[in-house]
Amino acid sequence: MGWRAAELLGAALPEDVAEISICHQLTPEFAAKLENARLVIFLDAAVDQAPGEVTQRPVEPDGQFISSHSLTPGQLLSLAKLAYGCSPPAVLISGGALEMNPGDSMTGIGESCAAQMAELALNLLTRLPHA
Amino acid sequence: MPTVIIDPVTRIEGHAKVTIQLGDDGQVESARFHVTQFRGFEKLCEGRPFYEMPSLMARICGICPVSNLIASSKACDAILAVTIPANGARLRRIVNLAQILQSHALSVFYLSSPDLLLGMDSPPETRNLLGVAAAAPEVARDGIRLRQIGQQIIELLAGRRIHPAWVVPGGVSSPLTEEKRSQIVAMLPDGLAAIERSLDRFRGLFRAFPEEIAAFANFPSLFAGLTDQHNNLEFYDGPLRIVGADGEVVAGNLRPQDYPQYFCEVAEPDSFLKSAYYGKMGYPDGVYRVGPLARLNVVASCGTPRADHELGALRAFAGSPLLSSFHYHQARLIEMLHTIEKLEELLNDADILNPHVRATAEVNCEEGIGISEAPRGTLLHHYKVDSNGLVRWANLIIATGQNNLAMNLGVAQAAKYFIRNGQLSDGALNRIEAVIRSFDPCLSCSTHAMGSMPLDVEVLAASGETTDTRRRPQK
Repeated sequence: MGWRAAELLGAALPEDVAEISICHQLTPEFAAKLENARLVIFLDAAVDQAPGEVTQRPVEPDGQFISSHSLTPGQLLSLAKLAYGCSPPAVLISGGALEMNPGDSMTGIGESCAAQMAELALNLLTRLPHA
Repeated sequence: MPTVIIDPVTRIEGHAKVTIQLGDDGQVESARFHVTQFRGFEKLCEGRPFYEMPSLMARICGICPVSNLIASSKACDAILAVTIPANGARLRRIVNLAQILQSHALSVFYLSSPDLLLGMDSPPETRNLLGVAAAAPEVARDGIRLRQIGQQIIELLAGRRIHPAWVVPGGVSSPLTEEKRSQIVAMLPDGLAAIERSLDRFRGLFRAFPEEIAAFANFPSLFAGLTDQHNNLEFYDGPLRIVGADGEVVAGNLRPQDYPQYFCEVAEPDSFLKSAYYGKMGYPDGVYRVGPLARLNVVASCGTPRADHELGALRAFAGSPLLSSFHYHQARLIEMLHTIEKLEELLNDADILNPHVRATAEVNCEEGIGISEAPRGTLLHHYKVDSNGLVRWANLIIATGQNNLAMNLGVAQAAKYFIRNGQLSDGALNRIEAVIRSFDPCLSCSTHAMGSMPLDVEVLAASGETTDTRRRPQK
């Protein structure tokens, strides 16, 4: 769902407004990308909210434990802050998933959720000064 | 008789546990390293067309898919009975070097630098990359940059960082473009600066661990690895060499197709990881090591000036051959320096943009063996196919299996050294894990644990009753 939202966002954005990275998981290398970011938006599916529900919340640097393979958004922000001295504002936009098993296509709820997530992200980006 | 169990072992690639058996007097009697994952790749590929093997085998591991891709493709080259175009081989070498660079950066900076920079006895909750970034942000930045460079090169060449499909039977699927060549070349000065800074920093640091040098799998063994015709480091091709603890060549110019005569495997009852041993010395005496330490022990030199300078300094400090597995870390850094130098050399080859990168053929042999050096050591794929090219049998000898006997001996050595009178300090337990980390075992990285990885330690009495339990804090 996060991938789909990122694809929709990428299609809707003019070039050079934002860098969109699509990944299976957040790895430490992403910390380097945050160095000059004015805003970081994480798009992800969620299993701890109702299917179809879209939420948006700020993310702060957080977390002591760090794995080499997958970081939480808060841990990634912590690493960026400690290693690169940057602390960009960050937002997590989550979409409640109905079904997480592999399939040929997304469910209608998933598609709708991804579209809403992309819309929210687009609104955040267009409100940035000089966006 | 109490038993200490470390399960899971943390900051390694995969899932394993360690059992330490204490005697009634509280002294360590024995220790074992168990791999608790079962994969079954050799079995599940039976019946598949041979040309699917590189892509299937790449799925063995999410950290080093390129290594399996290369060994598998080389086995398939042998089934086709083709000599691949020179530039195809050159491009395979480049992607393999990038793989070694990114994987070594992960091992040194993400997994082991917390122990080295913060100390083996530092609080467990700080022994991670965040702790390193807090204490020495430039080290974290250099580690991230070096891993990034390796991964970006893989992505530029092969289309994606994980499980690419660009290396194929007969060569590679597409040539390098000038645009991509320039992009890769432009990254190398940055990488060179990062690795030289890191070597400057770590070189002195390594000397501050005399006990770990003494007790981290520090014993005589054999060492195995590929070499080129000038006895330089070689990651892609060439004969295999085995040297002894005195540096003398035990067996040289070994052909991959003769491997059953020198590499044997045994399945032990307490681990899903097979143990390899040198056949002529038998099991369990034929202990040998592979990987960065072994590679530096089997060659005369690296073959690039900066890496050779560093190798000379390491040998002057620690002797030659290097016997302590603690030196794996420095060997990894030296190999990273070598990969940057070698990448520059290959990318400036006059023929690097030659579009002839793949040979095609039908099945011409019903058996193929491919060998290459993966980050963790020598990797061997062996397939038998029928006349239609369907795989009937496969055998994979991976680096971690070849180090298994040495890792077990190393765990026991460290446990005996650092656990005294049954006192289970966190620092002692971390050192036992750190012995394993020094080998950088890869226990099938494509399967990841969900959530955090706590460290549970249980002390069991002879009756099986738990007498002590310790749990590392987790977030």
